[in-house]
Amino acid sequence: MELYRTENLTYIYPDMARPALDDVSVNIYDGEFLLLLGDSGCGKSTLLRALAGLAPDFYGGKIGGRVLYRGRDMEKMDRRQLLRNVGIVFQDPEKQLVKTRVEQEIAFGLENLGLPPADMRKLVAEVINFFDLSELKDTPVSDLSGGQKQKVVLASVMAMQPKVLLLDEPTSQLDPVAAEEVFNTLKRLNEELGLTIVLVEQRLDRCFHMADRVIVMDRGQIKNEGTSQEIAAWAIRNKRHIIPPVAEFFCCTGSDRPPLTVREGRQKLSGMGFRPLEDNESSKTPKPVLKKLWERLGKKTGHRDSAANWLVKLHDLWFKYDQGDEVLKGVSLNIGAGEFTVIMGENGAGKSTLIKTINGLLQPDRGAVLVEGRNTASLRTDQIAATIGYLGQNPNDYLFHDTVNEELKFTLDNLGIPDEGQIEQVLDRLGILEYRYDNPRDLSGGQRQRVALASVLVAGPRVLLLDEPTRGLDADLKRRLGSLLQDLAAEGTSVVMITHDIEFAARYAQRVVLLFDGRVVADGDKYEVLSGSVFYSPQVQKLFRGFETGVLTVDDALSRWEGLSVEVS
Amino acid sequence: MKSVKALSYITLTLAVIMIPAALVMGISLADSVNWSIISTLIMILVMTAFYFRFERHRVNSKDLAVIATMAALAAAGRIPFAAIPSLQPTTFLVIITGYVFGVQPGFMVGATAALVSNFMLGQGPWTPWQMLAWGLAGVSAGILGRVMPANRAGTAEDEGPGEKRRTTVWRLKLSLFAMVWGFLFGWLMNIYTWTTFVYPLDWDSFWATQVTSLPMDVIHAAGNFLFTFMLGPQFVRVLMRFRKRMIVEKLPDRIKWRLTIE
Amino acid sequence: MRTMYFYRDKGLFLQRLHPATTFLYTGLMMILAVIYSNPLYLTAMLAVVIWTIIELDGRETLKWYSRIAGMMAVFVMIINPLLSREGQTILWHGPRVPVIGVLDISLEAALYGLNMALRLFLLIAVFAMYNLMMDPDRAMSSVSRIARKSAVVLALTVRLIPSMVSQARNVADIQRARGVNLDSGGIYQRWKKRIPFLKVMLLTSLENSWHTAEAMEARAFGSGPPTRYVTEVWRPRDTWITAAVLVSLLTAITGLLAGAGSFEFYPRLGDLTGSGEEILILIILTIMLAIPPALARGYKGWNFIERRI
Repeated sequence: MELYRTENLTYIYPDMARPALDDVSVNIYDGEFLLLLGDSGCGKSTLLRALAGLAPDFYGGKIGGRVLYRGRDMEKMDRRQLLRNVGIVFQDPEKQLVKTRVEQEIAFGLENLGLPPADMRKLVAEVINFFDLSELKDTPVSDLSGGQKQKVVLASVMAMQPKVLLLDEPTSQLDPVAAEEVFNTLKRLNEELGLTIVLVEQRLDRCFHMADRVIVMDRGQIKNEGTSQEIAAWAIRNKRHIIPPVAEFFCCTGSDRPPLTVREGRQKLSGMGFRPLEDNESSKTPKPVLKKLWERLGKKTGHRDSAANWLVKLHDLWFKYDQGDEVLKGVSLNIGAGEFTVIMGENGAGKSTLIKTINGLLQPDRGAVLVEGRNTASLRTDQIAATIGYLGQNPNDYLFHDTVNEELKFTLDNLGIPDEGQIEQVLDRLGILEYRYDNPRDLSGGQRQRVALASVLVAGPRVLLLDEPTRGLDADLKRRLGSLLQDLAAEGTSVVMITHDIEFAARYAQRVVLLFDGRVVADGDKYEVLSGSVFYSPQVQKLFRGFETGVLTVDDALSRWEGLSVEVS
Repeated sequence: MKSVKALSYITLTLAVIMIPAALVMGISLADSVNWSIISTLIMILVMTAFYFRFERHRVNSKDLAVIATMAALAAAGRIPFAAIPSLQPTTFLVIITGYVFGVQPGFMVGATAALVSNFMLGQGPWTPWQMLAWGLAGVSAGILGRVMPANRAGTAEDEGPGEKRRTTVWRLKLSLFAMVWGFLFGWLMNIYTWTTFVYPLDWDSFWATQVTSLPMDVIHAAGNFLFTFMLGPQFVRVLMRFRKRMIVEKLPDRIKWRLTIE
Repeated sequence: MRTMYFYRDKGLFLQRLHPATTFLYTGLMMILAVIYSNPLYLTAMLAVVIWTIIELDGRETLKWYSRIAGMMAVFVMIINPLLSREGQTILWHGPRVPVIGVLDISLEAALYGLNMALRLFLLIAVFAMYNLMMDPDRAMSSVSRIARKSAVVLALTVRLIPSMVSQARNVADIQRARGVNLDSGGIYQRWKKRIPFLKVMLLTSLENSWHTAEAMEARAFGSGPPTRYVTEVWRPRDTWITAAVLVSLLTAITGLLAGAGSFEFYPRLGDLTGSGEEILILIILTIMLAIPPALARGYKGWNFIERRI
């Protein structure tokens, strides 16, 4: 049954010249799980907002064409009636919460709808049970983790009993575990309650296979629509990197109906000539990582181990916050010039704390930090700022000047470095030179991040620390960031980056450090660490476990496959 | 909505009845007039009137979110563990909000900031007086915004020589206004101490009370002046830009859709 | 970040009252503290309030508030004798001072100052008691009964503050990492270096407020007359305490009509105890006001009471 139909929907935001939606005609059917894909600014979020009635009601602007909900023109629908049918969840849970306690938050929408108290109590109770929130019901909202917050947002929208749920990148601000939970919930809602779901998402490896149908948008228009498999095949033909690695690999090998999950993929592998490894062969897989680590610490081998080449040396760091347990428990880590290191680990493992000790934002309780051979214990952060650049989680925290140029100059002035063309050079390199005299706050999220990064890089640091820079970036922006960081490393800058994004690490980094409970539990080349891990491994590695070793990316996999074809022929 | 309105009316009526009742009680029952109760009641009445107006007014989610945001900023400025010591921008933020958004938001931001910051700092007899004082700072700034609008004078970025002088004058006026509120704030707060704990209530004792808080008021006033002089034009510009965005322009004529052929 | 509140939830009996009960009880105390001038009445009330605070495990809070009250009390005790000329029992003949006039200190004025300091302590103690009893979250949601929009403003403001505080910390880190030494220079220099904090936070918060508004819109805010979701319950203890408050109120009004509770300082000190009636009213009032701490004690001590109230 048809739920939504848009007829030649065109929409222009206020003060914008280009339409965000350009003649979009699309049908959405009752009970389906629909995935909307496309690069930033392609209009997918705008389409969601048009379906929720927020564009143009909330945003203003001009609209053409029609949106029909169950055959009725949405413009003529009463708002309450519409909102009892359509629920929408946005990116950042932090910005969607209104009340101070979970139970009040869930009831907020119901109060606004003017439901009688008895009905409200029933709905709130039901939703709290369904989402398993009873233990959190009296918790202050600010005490919740990001994942819990998003769950509360989802619950408070679901309490209004919508027939269709629209989601705009609901997991972009969450770590993988919390994201997984959101997807599982969506699956449950779709399968158990028959709820229609329209999802805009970047984290495709987790949800691509769940979709009944995929729509790809580009510049405000619908580019293609079809089943996940059809879209996967189409995307590869059109060189669009929008699909998850497993599907990408099989599409590249010429499959028209590519498997979408690791399980399906493994079944197909043997048919392609890949042979399961014999037991003695699999024992040749890299030794347990811990052992490797001890070896590394024990005997110093290779040219990089000579002390002169270590740019940053962390020796036996211990750290504890004023309230709470020890966060770092004897961390030792050496970082060489030109290394691209990724630090991974669950929430609370001490990742952020660790990189803050490197540039002196936090002073370790015990142990020493040596930067270029100098102990930083007596140095302030601003004194090592010229050597070590730091990009925090939120690029907005960097932007307070009226122009991009002033933003970069601020860093230079603080460090007493004269501008001899570095500003222009850095902006050019990051592809934002055209915005040099624009207000950074007028730029998009991806551009803002590049401005923030530029304001760090302009000082020419030898070490670059980044705290989850891939958060909320789409595939294209990630690719640009990845190759930029690789280039910087190749030029001799040490890049140390925290991320939850295993695929990104597998693709771009050299070295992976795994942190658990304040300790380094694995450290080494990414092929060692990620291949040796069952859970901390990229999708392609999971696909090839037991077939091939040392396969982390689609490119690795393809080269093995080509080798295989050569062997066979 | 009806019940909310009805309750608001009841509250207002109660407040209206309570003032004369208190007067009668004050005069007849306790021999002399109890000015402490009367001043408190007047304060409550003024605040009720503003809150009543806010409840009756059509407020959309954007207005409400902006009011809460500015109030949170202003309140956070008072909390010492907000990592910004020696920076108390509360009055400044209340004044520029009132200046740009008007009387009602100005009051709400001031009163809310006072109440909420005391959730963290501890409520006391001073709470309602702070709510009133900051609320009125916002209100008066709202009036100032109408009398002395910024227009281009305060916000133009590229200015000619004449324009530049006008901007400086505007900036100075706004800063002086904020400075005066540094003193007024202290005086309003002192009314409570004066009426409740001092006898006799005459000009001598009034001034004596004011003098005791003078050092604090001077610091407050100087801070307000500095904030407004340094940041006023910039912040007003930011807020005005945001206000412009908040006003939804819905065009009555729907654009004619065109068929695009791919 | 519940820890940001001054209030701490300890799960105590007196923290589990209906908000209306708490408002009534503390409200009556506040009004009586300002109306009464008889030191006996003020002392009796202060004793009751301190007992309540002890039942609320609030000794530390009381100390904290006493420090503030102490500073104000010094002012009150100095300014009253200096300015008042109505007392007849002169303790000390002072010189003539410009503006103020003759600096005569009278016994009456000195005692008046002391009494006002007592009143000050009482008032401050009542507020300390309120802070210990009333969870701001619950106070806010009960406000929504009469003023829903204001209550939503309050809730959202409170909700935003913890994220602003953590943002301020991040900005501090970033400023340092960009080469700013936040701790050098004089007051003015330090103040100036903190201006970017305010700018970043203003810009970011305004942007965020847009998204918050959108989320509120999507959850039907302003779509029509709202209703109210209530989680508060009314227990027997609320009935008991409300009854006690009403009895105290009636007693107080009866007393006031008879002139009980006031005390003459000028021109000469009045009779402290007054008529027997006045004493009777004082006793009834004290007992009635002491019912909440007494119940709290019983709740702690006897399982029998705990289950019934």
